[in-house]
Amino acid sequence: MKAPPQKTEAKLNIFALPSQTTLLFGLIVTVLLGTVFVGSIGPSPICTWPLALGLLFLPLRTFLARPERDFARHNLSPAGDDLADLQQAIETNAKAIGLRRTPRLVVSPSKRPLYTFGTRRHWYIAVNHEAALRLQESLEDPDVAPVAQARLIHELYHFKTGDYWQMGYTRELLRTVFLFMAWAATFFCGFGFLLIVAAPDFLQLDPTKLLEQAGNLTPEVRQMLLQIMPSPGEMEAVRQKAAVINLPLVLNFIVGATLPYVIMGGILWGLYWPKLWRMREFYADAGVVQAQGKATPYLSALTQIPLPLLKKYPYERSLAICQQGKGFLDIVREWWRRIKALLKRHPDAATRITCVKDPSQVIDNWVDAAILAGSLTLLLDILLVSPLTILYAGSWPMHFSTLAILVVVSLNLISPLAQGKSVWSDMLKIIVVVVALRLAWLLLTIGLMILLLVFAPDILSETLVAFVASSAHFAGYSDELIFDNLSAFVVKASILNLAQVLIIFFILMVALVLVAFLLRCLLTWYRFPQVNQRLMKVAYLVIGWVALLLGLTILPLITTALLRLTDLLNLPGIIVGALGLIIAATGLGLFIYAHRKYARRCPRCGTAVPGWYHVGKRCKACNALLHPWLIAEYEL
Amino acid sequence: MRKATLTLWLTRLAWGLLIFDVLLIFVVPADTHFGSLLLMIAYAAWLILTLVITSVWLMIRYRAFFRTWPGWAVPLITLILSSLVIQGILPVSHPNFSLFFSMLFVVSVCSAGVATAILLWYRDVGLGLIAWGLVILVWMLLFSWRFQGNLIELFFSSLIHPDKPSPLWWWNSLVCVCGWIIPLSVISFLGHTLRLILREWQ
Repeated sequence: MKAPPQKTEAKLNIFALPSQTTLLFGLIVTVLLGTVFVGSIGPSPICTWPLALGLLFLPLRTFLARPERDFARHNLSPAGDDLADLQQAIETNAKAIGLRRTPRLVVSPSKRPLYTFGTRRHWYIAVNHEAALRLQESLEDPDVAPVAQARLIHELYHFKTGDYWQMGYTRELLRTVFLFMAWAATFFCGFGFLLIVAAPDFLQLDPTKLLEQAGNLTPEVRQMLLQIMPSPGEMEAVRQKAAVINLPLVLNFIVGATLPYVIMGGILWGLYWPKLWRMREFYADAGVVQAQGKATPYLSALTQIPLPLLKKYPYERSLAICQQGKGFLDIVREWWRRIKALLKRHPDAATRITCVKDPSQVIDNWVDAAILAGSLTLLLDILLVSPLTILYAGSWPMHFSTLAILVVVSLNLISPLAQGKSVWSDMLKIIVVVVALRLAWLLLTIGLMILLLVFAPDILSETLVAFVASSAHFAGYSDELIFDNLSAFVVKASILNLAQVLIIFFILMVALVLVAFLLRCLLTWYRFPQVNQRLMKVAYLVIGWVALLLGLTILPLITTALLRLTDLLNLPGIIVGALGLIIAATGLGLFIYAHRKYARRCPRCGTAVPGWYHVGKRCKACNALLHPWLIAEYEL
Repeated sequence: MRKATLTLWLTRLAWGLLIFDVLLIFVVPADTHFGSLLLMIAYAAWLILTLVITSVWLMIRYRAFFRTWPGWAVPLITLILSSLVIQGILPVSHPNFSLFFSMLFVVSVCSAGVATAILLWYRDVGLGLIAWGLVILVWMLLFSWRFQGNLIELFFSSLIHPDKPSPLWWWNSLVCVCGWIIPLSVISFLGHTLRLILREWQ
């Protein structure tokens, strides 16, 4: 059998585009930290900023402490002189791929495979001692040296892409949020129950009577004790204050404030954490093939097929892995494999080979992007109605999640736009899925409210009182919270919330159409100075600019018109809105100026280049490759 | 070499003193008056000082054990046990045994602090200790209030009638342990944080 000829193909350089790993990292941080920070900026029943700072810095601290824990847990030790050549190879390859420092090789007696860990300034590659010796030997054997080198470069690329610190911080953030909220729930529930059990005894306490029982005390000691203990007047004041506190509502607040974070943290840990793991592997794979200029050595490392055999028959094995049947059972098997793959931390070899051959496969398709953005909406919607943030969400219900979705979807648009794909239908589908998920959640809530209104209005009233009381400024005070007209409340709440869903749909659509158009224009700026380093930064500025326009002008205007019509003409709101408009107008002006100057002209010959950009596009006049930095070239 | 010899010599001396003190406690009748109050005070002071110093030295010497969780738990268990005896919950009739447990209580109070300090020196678990220590404190108060009754009255009752066994026997040990844990954990947390930051920038 004759091997097909090798060819060099232009592939999408995924490193030039927004990193999916960073996007996932940002999503997890936004969900967990963003909501707590929002709670601390806006009104909140309790002082939330220490919690926000704690959740920001405690994971950072544990992230810094992680290497020494790993050293202790896995009995790691620095590699000795017998592995000097391997350490040297690490140094050489680190320099070759442009790492700013060399990771230290550490060995462990355990059978764990090659892996990386570290902090921002201390990097380590850990490997089993015997495996390290074998790897060192492989590096000296010309037949298998490229394969061993590929394995090393793969690990080094985790440092190059920076995913090691994103992974490390995310892991500690998830762990800290879970542990802290579980601790807070345990401690404050215990405290609340203690207050419930002890309050009657404590409030009936009469220090004078208590001391009278002690017949053996001297008058001096008795006087001293009386001075220490609260006076009858003070006790009465405490009784009056305590009388209006509803302790079950305090407990309701504690559970409501902590439980959503524990559950959401669990969901993020279960679904997003494995996805982050898988994504980083794809990026490291892409790094290896780009660094080596050919995919065969790494495919050999992935598939364990000897390199000479793979060189001779490069496609057969990978095609065999990727082949899928078309029967019903095959489809079921394929879906089952996909569901199982959601929980796996390492992608399977077939997917990795596919992504090595076509790096654009690493970027989420519209289904994945829609699931990502939709789940982000749901998570934010659930977390933002927790007692810590409900006061903020009540005032500005559309801001946080709308802006978060806009940013996530916009970042996901850059890759298909760079590939010259039409994004309109995908964008519409993503927004429809996001809004549908939100609508389903809302309809579920409204349906439950209507059911309760019809069959158990008392329970609905109590639930609403508990919900409002748990978010009131004095958590647990409920003497003035009564819902006089339940049906009016339910109808108004339903209309307002449904209106918000539709408004968000239209706002997102318009904003994303604008973003997509601007990004598509931006990709034609072939003559932009230092385009390979600066174009993506401009893309981020464009997304930020649209988000700013929405956040400062459009969303406040619509929210105020919908919820507080009388506040529409208040001065601070008008000033902020005007500021947003001025920034938007200035930004648009600058964009148009730059577009006229840099767009649709060949950087080499200056000839006009009509049409939109796509990967591999060339100037028709001089055949110069446009945006070559968006292309990765390596042999398959 | 000289340091190692000195350490070995001090350890032998500490073991010797410890055995000697224990023998003294059991051999010398506990109700003896030594002929004068001064001698009796000197005897008690000798026991307390030497037992505390030797136990602290031996804990530092064998810190490899005390930096582990079981090692940390040993002085705490000793504290709770001796506290039970001196509060009359576990009846001990022989006066020499009573003296032994009284001395053990004094030593355990110090040992609990030393063990906590050793644990926190080697392990960055200060925050966890404070956090879960507070959880244990609150839930113990809750269960105690629920099943033993009004704790304020019980506390006063135990103050007024110190001769009777107190139902709040656990309170002293818990306060003692928390008294060590809270300040030491705060110091440890800050110290380890500083160490981590410095190491990161080295």
